[in-house]
Amino acid sequence: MLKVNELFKEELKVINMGLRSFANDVKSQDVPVIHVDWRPVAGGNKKLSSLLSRLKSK
Amino acid sequence: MVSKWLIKENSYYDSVTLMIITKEIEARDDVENAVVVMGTDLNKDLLNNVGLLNDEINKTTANDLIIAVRMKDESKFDEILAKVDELLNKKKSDAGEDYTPPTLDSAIKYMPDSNMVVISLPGAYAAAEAKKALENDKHVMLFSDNVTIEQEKELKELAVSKGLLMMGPDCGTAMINQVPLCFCNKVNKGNIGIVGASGTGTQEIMVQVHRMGGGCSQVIGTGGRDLKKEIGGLMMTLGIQALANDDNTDVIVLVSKPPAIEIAEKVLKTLKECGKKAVVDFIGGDDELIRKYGFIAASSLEDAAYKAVALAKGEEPKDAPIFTESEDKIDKLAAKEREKLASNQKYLRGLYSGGTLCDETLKLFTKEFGGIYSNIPLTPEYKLEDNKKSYKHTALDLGDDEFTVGRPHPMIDSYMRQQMIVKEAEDSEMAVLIMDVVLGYGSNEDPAGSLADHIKLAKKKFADRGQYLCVVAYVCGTKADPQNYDEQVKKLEDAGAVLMPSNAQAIRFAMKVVRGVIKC
Amino acid sequence: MIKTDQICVINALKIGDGVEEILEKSDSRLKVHSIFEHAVNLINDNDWIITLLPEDYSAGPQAVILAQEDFAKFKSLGLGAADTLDFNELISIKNSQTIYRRSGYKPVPEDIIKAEGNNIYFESLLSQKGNKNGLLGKENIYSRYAAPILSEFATLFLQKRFDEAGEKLLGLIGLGPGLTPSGDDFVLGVFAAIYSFRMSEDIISGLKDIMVRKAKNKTNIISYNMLRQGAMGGFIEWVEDMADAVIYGDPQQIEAAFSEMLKIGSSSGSDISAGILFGMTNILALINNKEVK
Repeated sequence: MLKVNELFKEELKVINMGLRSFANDVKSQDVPVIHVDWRPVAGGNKKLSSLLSRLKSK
Repeated sequence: MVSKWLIKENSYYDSVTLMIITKEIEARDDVENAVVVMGTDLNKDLLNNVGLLNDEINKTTANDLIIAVRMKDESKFDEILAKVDELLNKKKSDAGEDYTPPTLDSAIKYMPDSNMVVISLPGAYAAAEAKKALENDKHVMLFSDNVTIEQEKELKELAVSKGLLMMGPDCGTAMINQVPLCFCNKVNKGNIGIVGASGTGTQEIMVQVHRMGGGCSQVIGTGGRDLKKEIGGLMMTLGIQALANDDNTDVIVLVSKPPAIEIAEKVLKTLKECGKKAVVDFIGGDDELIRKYGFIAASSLEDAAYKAVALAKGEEPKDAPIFTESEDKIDKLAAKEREKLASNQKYLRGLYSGGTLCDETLKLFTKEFGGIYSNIPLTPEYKLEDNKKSYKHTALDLGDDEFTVGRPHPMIDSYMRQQMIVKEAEDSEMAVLIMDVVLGYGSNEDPAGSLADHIKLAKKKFADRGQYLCVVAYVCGTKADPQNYDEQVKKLEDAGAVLMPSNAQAIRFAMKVVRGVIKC
Repeated sequence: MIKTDQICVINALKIGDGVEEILEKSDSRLKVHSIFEHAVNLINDNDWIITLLPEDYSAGPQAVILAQEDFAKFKSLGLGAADTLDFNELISIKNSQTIYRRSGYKPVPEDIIKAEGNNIYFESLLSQKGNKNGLLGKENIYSRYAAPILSEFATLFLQKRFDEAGEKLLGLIGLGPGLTPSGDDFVLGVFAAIYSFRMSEDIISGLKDIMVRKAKNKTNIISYNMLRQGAMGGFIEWVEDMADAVIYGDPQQIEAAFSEMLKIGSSSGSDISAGILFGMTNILALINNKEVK
């Protein structure tokens, strides 16, 4: 049995890394979620906000 | 400054909750300092040192909780009390949200039974974190793009070897165990499972299934590149197998842009092996191949949903009606719009937030009219020279790179679309303006409201010129979505838009209006 | 008393090595003391607490670990604070695994140099990743209050005046935020270091007696139970792992153990770790002093 099928039988418990709104949306549905306060390693790209601008067509 | 306090006798609250309360109170501008401690002798000593001790607090024991605050305006203390009560009565998962661990590892240690990691970090880091998640036996939804195809291959191969989901990169829509993730609508539970390589395509099918009285068991996203040769449909294959094993899924729907033949064959073969009924929408791709394998081909996203719902009920899948309303009624409505147009108004202009919805429009339009310009054209000769300057019939995907540099995606923020509406309204040769309004989690909380004024403005510009602008809109959403669906529809109708119940019907209606004007 | 005829007995998976004694002393009659999301405290007439925990939580000497479903089942019984129950009618410990404290069974560490290196590494790890809301922080009212006490302890400890040093530690009990106040966590950490290092009985007894006899009124009953066990060498497994990692392990083990510590409470894990660090530093100073002589 694929792990995916096990997932389908479990309660979804989410770890969110990145846009906080995704975590908030999950939380608003009473699903356990942890938001990771992620920081890039030293020298990393600090323009996290530009991530939003690079969302591809969906 | 006044001192206010609250004592909770014989009260035991876990330390995380107490810390959160302290932080919440101290975050207020009108609070100088706050102390949240058990009434031990030492803590009372400390309170004394900072001038917060009084007789009542002095009487507390080590088993009592003290919340002491020094604040500017004591009339606001009730607000603090209300907040404290709220926090003390919260469930742990709420308190957990305020604890934001700094790394994936610490998050996993804090919630070891987590099973899904959703990643929307910048591409450069996203792949590494996705890999870590998979190595820790977690399923992954990778929203980020800017991940190389080599990285995608490595991630998906790792995932498949472990039987884990690796949804993405560039995967914006999924629903697992009835929980919408990222950009996704809330739909009824049911026996239709979807595996999609295209975000709004998946959303449209889900939404239509719901509208038609069906429901979804699981919705698995694969990311936009899954069916490319280099990836070979790894996630679509896994998704099909998972749905095959899922007792709650009776019908499988696949949606993607047309894949290369060998990948299409591979996917259809896997579908055949799973033995369940299926509908496949390769959006404008090879229907013959689909039928060859014994599956149902769909001519539109709506049609895919329509056929899936029929199969799910054990009925014969028929083609979706061209229009939900009688064609007679639609013709009358189209005629009504058309007769108000001025003689020089000829063109259709589309402003889309959903890339696949735009793509479906381009395909349906091209079938009838032969050609339409776009920033994501079907063939190179219809590529616009300047994406911000529409030419003849044009439909734009405003979620594409050029329009989203330095700006949020149009599903989140309507600014770019508002500007484009105003711009298009300058063109007196435009006859019909068509747009999608996508609801669901992740989307703007009031997309219709954010567009209504600009629609009215555009209509007014045309009226002032002695012309008429026909506006067609489609709300891709359900009544279960966080936005109020009925209100969204009403706002658009009040602005003068004609609403259609699916993306396909919207463009068909728009074509009826335009066709009456142009001989094709 | 709660009627338990209709309720199936829950089987405990693991129990700490102090549980049976508590049950015997109280004839298994306990009162519900407090209920948390992931823990239920039961207390007897002598203020000894047994803590029920779901699996995957670190077990201490007074803990009873239940399977997730059983823990949920127990909570769904709807027992509230001050309800009395007969433990043996609800939970069976017959088939459970007993977790014994390790502190009495370790050899004296031989590689002091390694422990010193580890201690320095541990210190930098704490300052980077520890939660600074309690005693670990340097800028808050609690750590400023504690600072003179700690330096007095260090002086006395080095002079082998262990009883007096113990009184100093007592001066931290009840200090600071948290359900288990930061000071209590810190002191627990000091004990963990002392026991893990297999310090001799004369050192330990001075510190231990003070804690067992005098700490009770200075803090709440939950924290006191933890401290009393710690003074007698009983700790939750994560705390023992942390102290062991610093004394016997390598940087990777220290990091791994510390990640577990961070799961404890809000700043408790960090405060206990700070106590372990402080204890280690003083022990190493004491040993080096001995060798110098």
